[in-house]
Amino acid sequence: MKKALKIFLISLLSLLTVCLIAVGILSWVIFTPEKLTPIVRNQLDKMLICEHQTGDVELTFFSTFPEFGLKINGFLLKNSLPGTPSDTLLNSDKVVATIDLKALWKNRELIVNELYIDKAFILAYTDSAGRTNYDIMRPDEEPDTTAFELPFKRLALDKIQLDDARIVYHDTPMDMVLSLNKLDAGINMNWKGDLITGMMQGEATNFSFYWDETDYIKQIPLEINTPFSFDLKEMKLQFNAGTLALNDLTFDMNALIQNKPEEILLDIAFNSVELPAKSVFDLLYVPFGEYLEGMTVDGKTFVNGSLKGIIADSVMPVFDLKADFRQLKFAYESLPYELYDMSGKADIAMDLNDNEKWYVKVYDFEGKTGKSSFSGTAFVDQLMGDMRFDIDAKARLNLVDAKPMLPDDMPVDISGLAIGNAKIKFLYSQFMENQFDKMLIQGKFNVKYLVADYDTISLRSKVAELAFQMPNIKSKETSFVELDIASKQVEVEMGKNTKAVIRNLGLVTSTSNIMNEKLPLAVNGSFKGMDMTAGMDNMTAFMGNPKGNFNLIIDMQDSTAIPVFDCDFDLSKLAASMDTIQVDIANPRGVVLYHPDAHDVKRPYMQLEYHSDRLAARMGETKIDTENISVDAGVAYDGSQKNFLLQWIPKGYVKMNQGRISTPQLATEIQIPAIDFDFTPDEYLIRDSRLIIDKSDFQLTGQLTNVRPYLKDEGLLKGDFNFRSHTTDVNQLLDLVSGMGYGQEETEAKEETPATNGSSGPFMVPKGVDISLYTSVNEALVSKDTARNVQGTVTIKDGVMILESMLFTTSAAKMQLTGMYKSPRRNHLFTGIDLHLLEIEIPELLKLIPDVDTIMPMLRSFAGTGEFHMTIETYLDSAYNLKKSTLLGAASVRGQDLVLLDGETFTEIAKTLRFNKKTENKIDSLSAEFTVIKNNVYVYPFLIVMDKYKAIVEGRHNLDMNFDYHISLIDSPLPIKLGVDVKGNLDDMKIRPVKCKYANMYRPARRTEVDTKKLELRNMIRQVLTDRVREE
Amino acid sequence: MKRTFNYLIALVITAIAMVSCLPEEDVFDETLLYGRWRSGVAYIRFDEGGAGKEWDLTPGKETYEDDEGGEMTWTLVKSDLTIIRITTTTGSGVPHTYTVIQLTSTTLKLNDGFGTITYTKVN
Repeated sequence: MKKALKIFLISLLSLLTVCLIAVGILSWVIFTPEKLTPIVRNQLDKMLICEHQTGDVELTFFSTFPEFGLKINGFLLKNSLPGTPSDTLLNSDKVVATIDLKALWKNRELIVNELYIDKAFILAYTDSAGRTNYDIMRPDEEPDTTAFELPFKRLALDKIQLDDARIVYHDTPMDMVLSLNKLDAGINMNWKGDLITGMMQGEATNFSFYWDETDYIKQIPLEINTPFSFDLKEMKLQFNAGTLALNDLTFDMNALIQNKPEEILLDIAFNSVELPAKSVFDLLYVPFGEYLEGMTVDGKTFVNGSLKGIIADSVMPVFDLKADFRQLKFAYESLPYELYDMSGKADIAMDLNDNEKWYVKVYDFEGKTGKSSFSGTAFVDQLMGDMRFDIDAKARLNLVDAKPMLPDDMPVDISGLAIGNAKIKFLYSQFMENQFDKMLIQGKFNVKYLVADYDTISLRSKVAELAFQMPNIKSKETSFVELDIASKQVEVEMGKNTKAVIRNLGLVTSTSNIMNEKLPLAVNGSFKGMDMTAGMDNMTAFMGNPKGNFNLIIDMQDSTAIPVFDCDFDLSKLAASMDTIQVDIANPRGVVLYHPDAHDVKRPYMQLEYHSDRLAARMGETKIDTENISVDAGVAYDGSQKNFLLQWIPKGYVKMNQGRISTPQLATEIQIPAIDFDFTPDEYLIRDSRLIIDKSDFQLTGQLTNVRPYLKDEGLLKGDFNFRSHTTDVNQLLDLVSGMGYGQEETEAKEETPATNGSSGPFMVPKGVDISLYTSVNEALVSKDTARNVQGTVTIKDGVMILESMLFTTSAAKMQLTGMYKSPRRNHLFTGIDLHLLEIEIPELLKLIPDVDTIMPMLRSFAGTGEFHMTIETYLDSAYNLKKSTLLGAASVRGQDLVLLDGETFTEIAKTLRFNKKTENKIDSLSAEFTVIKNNVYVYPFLIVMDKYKAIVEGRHNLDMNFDYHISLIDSPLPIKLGVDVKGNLDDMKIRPVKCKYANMYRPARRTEVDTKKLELRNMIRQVLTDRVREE
Repeated sequence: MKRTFNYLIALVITAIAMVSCLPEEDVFDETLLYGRWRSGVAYIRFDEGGAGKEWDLTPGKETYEDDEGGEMTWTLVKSDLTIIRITTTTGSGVPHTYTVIQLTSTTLKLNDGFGTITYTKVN
């Protein structure tokens, strides 16, 4: 056995030796490189049209044992096309192909066991015209119409091995570059008929993929390991359950690639294992870094994808990618937040036929930031252009998280919980350029326990609803955003002393783009509430059921431009109080407008239309109560005026009904049945103005003009009014208007004289006014008397009051009064009257004008009806005491059938003049003229006719009642003419018989020159006085 | 006839004699009146042309020539001085007559039938 084995081994060794010798002979003697190289080159020349360079070609056996191999040391193919980055098509240091010679020899089967290419550089290039650099096979000169038949019964390639290869595919029409560097790859193949199956594995250190101006993958490691099958007949390549690793991101892969005539069919699917999100993000950063700048991602994700479809001249496949991410963290340098605990799914669809159809869809998304959480879906398309986002989110926001969004220097604290949802649609460019006006944002949130503090301002609301809509499609002017805020209760505090509470607030407001300073800012909206209470220090206010609308437009580019503002409001009640002031208004409503003046846009114009029902106000003990008030006022503003009142130019009307005012200054309340007046800057047209004060009732109608010159101190305030009254208490009326228009100095008492009447001071005639009252008063209460049917004109002109030809009837007489009262200073008053009393009872005259008794004390001795004319004037002090040195006047009295009242003085005079004791004390006529100059009253000689006696009385007395009188008895039963002097005072009166002084005064022929002179003066006085009597 | 003529001559002589016995009336130069005159607190001012003013100036009181002085007109005929004060209220005149007793450049004495007032000239 051993011998047999020995023989077998020796034989085998010999056989091998022979074979080796044969191989050696074949390799080194027969198939030497010198012989093989030209053969290969010649064959390549016949096959190829491109330039090629072939190194030595040698037959190998030992290096490819146990197969023979054909080794080419250095192989280069060149095919230059315009634009190609290199003219090299293929370059390799070494190409070795091992061949199964047995199969070739016996079965005419060309089986290449292994094709090894070392350090290959392969560049496949397609230029813009569609020409390729790998189209290098020489075409047949004569088309071969016979069926194609391989020269071998079988052609097979079992393995291809690449070491350190670099492969570049550059397709100019598709703008695609695919490159693999440092590629080590091996492909094992098993040929069965037209079907090749096998295993492909490869590793490339750098893999890059550029397409359509975008680097999708750039220099990352690539590893592939997959079984495959290739149907030569169908030209169909399949990868089944392979793995693909990109940058250590591993995917399971199945693929079908079928090369059909005119098209390539693709169906590639891949699934990842759990991947680190950061790596995926880094992978995506290459193509989408422009959009991902500043973002960081961490977490886990699964990525599945597919590439399905046809590649043809005009058709491309669809690439779908699905990501399932979990426990994701996300940060963006522009966001002061970090998102965490994010999970969700994302679908990315890329239809390579049309990148406008590319989109990313995120759903089942949940995430958190700070103490807030949110969930929702998002849809992004236009991925290759201006990405379009459509986000539908639900959020549970802790408002504390909003603080980082606010400027650092803004002293704001905010807290609360907002739960709701929001929909946002925008373009990426809009987001980057803050074009919020072009975004579509809407949402609705329930806000709970809202607390917002800004500086000293604090806002609180336990429950509120906030809805917003961008853009606001309801208004073109305020299209930026609409806010709808509703709250059961909102509390606002400012400092420690200002507080407001609004219940059931409903506020809808919309604005123009507040971020665009080139456009005017427009804000409008409406508000309503159940009630609002507010307090500031000791002031409180309550508004019931406030509601209204408002509109505001501000020119943001011109800070001097007048804003446009209008607001209409309607309240069921407005109540306010401050200290002792209280106001309660029922249903105040109206419209406020504020805008540039149409005549001068640089001036503001304000319009107020106001109506209210009952108004009750109290200020201390002063009360005001009205039924209806209507005001329609336009006010223009003129800032060039220094006077505050002149700065406002009003125009409009005021109406008020059933007003009542009570004040401690008046014992009774003032009733205002109606006030209705129009006003302009220069004029007030009083259509109706009715007042009832105690016993007085007034109706004032007319015009007040020259208002602006008055306010400018350039003219008097002029007025023409009809003053109608049934009853007027003149004393009360004077008290009401006393002191208007005076400075403090003018009303201060320098020579204070204690007021004797208990009043606060003298009546001061208003200054700066020129007002005429055409009066018609049925009953005027003057002093203690009553004047009836008072008619005439009362004029008040710049501190002077004039009663002009006032006609009235008192209990004493019909009277005509012209009066003047001036009050230059409080202690310097002037009064003058021109009084005509017709048919007056002389005792009533003294009662009506007690001062007449001082001037003409003898009148107290008469009774009966007479006529009385008097002009007298004087200055007074603040207590209305006469300044006697300024007294000046004249008077005239006429009487018929007077009764001489018996008295001690008359008895004494009658005794001296020897009157008959039976003489009746009846005076047939009395006609006397008086002058008052300073302290003295001068009685011009006048004639008294009594029974059979005629006497002339003349004399002087002063206001201290010192007399110096003379009585001439010029006609009596006695044959002589007697005279008597009456001198002294009322307590010590001396009556002495003297010579008759005026014996002939009433005998013209015997009248003396003195008599004549005095009569002339009397007539002059009489004439002057009676000339002014007005005929009724 | 002769007797009648003698009676007539005697009557004429008697008449002439009686006329010559009447007191001679004083005539004053009105230019001496021009200017301000004072009597106690009372002031009077005679202006050329017959206008003037009258007022009281009481120390410590708010009385001034300008605002409380009464406008007036005056005429001087021989010794009869008539002053007409013009009222503010109606513009009418209130007359008063005086007889000038003495009028020098420094002294003015007036009598109104009830008494004499003496003024001295002031600036």
